This record gives sequence, C-alpha cells and structure tokens, in this order.
Amino acid sequence: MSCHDAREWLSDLLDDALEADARAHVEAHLAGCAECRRELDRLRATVSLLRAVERPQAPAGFVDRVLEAARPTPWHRRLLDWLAAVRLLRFPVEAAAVVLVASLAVYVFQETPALRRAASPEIPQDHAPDSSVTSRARTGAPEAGWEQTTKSTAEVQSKSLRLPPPVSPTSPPTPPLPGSELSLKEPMTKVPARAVELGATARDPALLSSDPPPREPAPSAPAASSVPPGAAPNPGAVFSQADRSGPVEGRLQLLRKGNASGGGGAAEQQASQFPPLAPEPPPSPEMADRMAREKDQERSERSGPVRIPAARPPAPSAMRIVSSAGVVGRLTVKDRQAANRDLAELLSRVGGTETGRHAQAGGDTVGLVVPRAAYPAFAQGLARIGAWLPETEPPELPDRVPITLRITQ
Amino acid sequence: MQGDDDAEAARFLDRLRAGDDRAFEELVRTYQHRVFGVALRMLGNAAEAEEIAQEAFLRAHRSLRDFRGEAKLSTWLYAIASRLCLNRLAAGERRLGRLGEETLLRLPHRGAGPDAALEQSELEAALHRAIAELPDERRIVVVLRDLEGLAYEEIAQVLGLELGTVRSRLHRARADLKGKLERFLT
Repeated sequence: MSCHDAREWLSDLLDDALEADARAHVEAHLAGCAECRRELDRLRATVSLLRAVERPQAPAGFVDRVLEAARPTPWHRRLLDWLAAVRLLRFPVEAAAVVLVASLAVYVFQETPALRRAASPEIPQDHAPDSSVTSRARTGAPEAGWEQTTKSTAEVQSKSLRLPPPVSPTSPPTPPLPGSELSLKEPMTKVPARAVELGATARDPALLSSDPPPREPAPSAPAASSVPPGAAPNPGAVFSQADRSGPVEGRLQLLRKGNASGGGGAAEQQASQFPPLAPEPPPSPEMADRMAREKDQERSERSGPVRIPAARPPAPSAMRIVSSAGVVGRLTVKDRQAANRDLAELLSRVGGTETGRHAQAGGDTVGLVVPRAAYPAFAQGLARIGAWLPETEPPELPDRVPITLRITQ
Repeated sequence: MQGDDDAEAARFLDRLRAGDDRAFEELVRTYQHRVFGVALRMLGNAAEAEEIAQEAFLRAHRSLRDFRGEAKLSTWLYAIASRLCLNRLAAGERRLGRLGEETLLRLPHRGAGPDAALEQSELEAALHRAIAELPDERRIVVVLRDLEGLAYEEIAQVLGLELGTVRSRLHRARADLKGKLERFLT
C-alpha cells in the first residue's frame, strides 16, 4: 500500500470505521512509515480540536419564540401570508385593497336587507315586504332616472306594492345570517389549508418558491344576475356567488344590466331587490370612513350611463312607493329606550305587531302592522311618546296598516 | 435499558404526533442547542441561525404527523435543519455576511486564566475561520460528525448521501482543516 492510499484511509481509521481487511493493510503500512504516522497524529490532533469546540447555545427565549410561532395564527394572517407567498401581494397597496374589498363585502352585506334576506332561509319573498319597504323609505330613490321606470319595472313595483302587508309575527324580521358567514369564511379557511400542505413538504423548502399553488380562478361577472327572478332565496347560492366577486360589484352589474336593457323585467326585478346602500344619518366616524371609501369605489365604477343610488334624503318617488303601502313617519323622542318600551306597550294595546327592526346609532327603523280600526288610537299614542310626524299617510288605509317608523332622538 | 429507552421514545413520539403541546415544547427544549448549533456553524451568523433554527422546528411541528419514526427524532431534526441551511446557502439570497467572526468569537471558551483565554480565543478564531471556509457540502459533514458527534450512517441519512460519499467528504474536510490549523498542532 502506498502512502497516498494509506492517507485516504486515515480519517476512517480514526473513527474506527474500517473493515478488518482494510484496517490491517493500513496498520501494516503505518508500522513501516514514520511520515504517515506523523500525518495520522496531526489528523488526530485536528479532530480533537474540533471535538473540543463547545456547541453554541441557542439564544435566551428561543424556545418561547418557537412555541409562539407554532401557535395557530388567525385566518386573516394566514390569508395574507398565503397571498404574499403566491406573490399576489407585492405592494402594501394591494394588501390594503384586499382588506378594503373584504370589509366592503361585509359592510354591503350587512347594510343590504335584500342580500340578508336572500341569504336567510325560509322567508318567502311574499311575506317579507316590510323590510324592503322600510329600506326604500329610508334610503329613497336617488335620481330622476330612478323614477323613469319602464312599464315592466312599474309592474314589478306595483306587484310588490300589492303584496299582502301582514307579516306573520312568527317570521323573524331579518334573522342572523349563519349561511352567509359560512360562505364568507369558507374560501378563507381553505386557503391556509393549502398553505399548510405546502409547509408539510418540509423536506424540500425550495418547493415553496418553485411550486406555488394554482391561483383561484379570477373573480368574474357576478353569477347573481343569473339567478332566476322568481327563485326562492337560497342561502348559499345567491350570496356566496355574489360574494365571489364582491357584493358591490355584483350589484353594480345588476343595476347596469337592468338599466341598459330597458324593458328587461327580470333583471330589473332583480335589481329592485337590491335597494341602494343605506347609511343611517349620523354614522359613526368609522362608518363614515367606510362610506367614503365605498363612494370612491362607486365613482370609479361609474363609466356607463348608470348612476348608482347613493345615500340621499328620501325622494318623492320613494315616498310614493311606500305611500300606497302604508304609513311612513318620523318619531322624535327624548329617550329612545323609553320610547321603544312605550311603543311596545302601545302596540300591544292597539293589537298591532312589530314586523321588523333595523337598529343603528342614528336611530331605529321599525316596521309595524296595526289594524285599521286601531290606527287613530295608535297615532295618538305615538304623539304622546314623542313628536310624531307622519310623512306619508295614504287616504285609504288597508285593513292592516303597515307602518314604517323612524325613531330618532 | 435499551428497551426502556425505546418504549419511552415511542411514547414521546406518540404524544408529539397527537399534537401534545407539552411534548413539542420538550422537543424544542431538548434539541434547541443542537439545531441552533448546526445552523450557526453553517451560516456563521447568530440572527440568521436563529431564524433557520426556528423555521426547522416549525416545519417539524407541521409535519410531525408524517414522521414515521424510521429515523431517530434527532436525525430527522438534523435533516430538516441541514437542508434549510444548505438551501439558504445555495439560494445566494443571504442578507448577512458569511462567517460573522464577531459572532463566533463571542462563543464561550474553556480557558481558565486570561492568558489561557487569549490563547484559546486565538485558536478558536482560527478554528472557526477554518470551518467557515470549508465548502458547504464538506462543512456540513464535518459539523455533523466532529461537532455534533453523529455516526457515519446517521450523517448519510440526514443528508441523503451514500456512506462512501460521507466518508470521502469527511476525509477531505479534515485534511483541509489540518492544513489550516497546522500551527496549533503540536
């Protein structure tokens, strides 16, 4: 065995990692070669130096930091992380846009009774006239163009006006929206799941960057417009589809379509189910901010002839819509809570029922139904509770008078 | 005794797989210095080493369910940490400088008095520099073998290499180091 060959094995010899044969050969060579013995000594010394090196200690608090990081993160952070990982978000602006769209979606949904109704199960449209009337009365139709409805729209409206006013007291006005929340959350909870899958390929971190998951299909035109007009409100179908593209965009498309097609009764009926956004008079600063952003969004969308109904005082046309259906008025009170108590008492005295309620910081909008015979007594009772200002009082009242009451302080 | 150890390791692994938070904490506590040590030797910078060590534990946490236990837990953790380090080194996206002598010089040394400390720090500086200058694929082998004390077979498992490759890389690494540390070899 040559010196060169023997030296190849010295490292293994030190580690006692040689087969018996090889070991015997190397040792035989070393016995007769002082140079290789010195080489072995130096190698042994080197290894001893290495093995004497103390292992560095992880910094203080390392364990806690790892445990903290291992804790499950909330869905919104995982979503942002995922978006960043697939490089959808390259700029803070985009991150802000994502947050904005998400909050808009929630806001519009919450502020749009028709959407909420669509998302809630089991309220047939025929039996839920009051909340739609209420919201229309509250927000009003904003533009002259809104009044210039085509014949078919007029039919649709008059049809809705002829809806039987009484609402069964058992049917909830606007129940909470379990389905809608699910449909909002679902895509978000799915996203992190994929991120976790990615993470699971721990063996090769390069996968993370080289193999991003396929993106979700880009949001396209809202499917809501394809819902047949007469379709029963389906909790998932209507909302979750509109949700994909964002309720605002969905509504804009609907409205555009409705106006553009002129006589498209179906589309218009659909559009009429989405009353304009209804910000209450004195919104909280946060609300005001959101509304402002929303308006910006709308402005940027207004390229066509359609003017999007925004927050404006009730216009006469809206009053007309409501007027033939019942009484609309404003009740100004000193103490809203006390007024609501008094109102409940008054209602039970005259045999009326509350059919819907929309409470906000600025005031409550309450839908009521009172028997025609008891209406005068009811009006007197209202006047005792606060300053009662009937804005619309049709000359001929139906048997059961629907009343929309704005209670402000 | 071996049987007892095995049984205990199996129970610990079951707890880990079941998502037992305390077991995971125990795992991090037990292996933090080893994982951090490999990362620091490979990356030469404490901040980056901590980042990688943390990432190694997080990945372990996420994929504990997939860990079948054919290898020892320590081997598995070394494998995750080594790959993360090698990938980081290969990516060339390193924000921080290599070596980080200031970091390595601040490591504790064993010398007794001030003179011994000075001599020791000189030796250690030379040693750390010599290790840091090794090519990455040799450095990881010598770190796992001589600094972490793994067996050849374990190193082969950790790095996914043939045993012969481990041997030859280790031999080259040690020969390199011997050349650079000549003046300290008496």
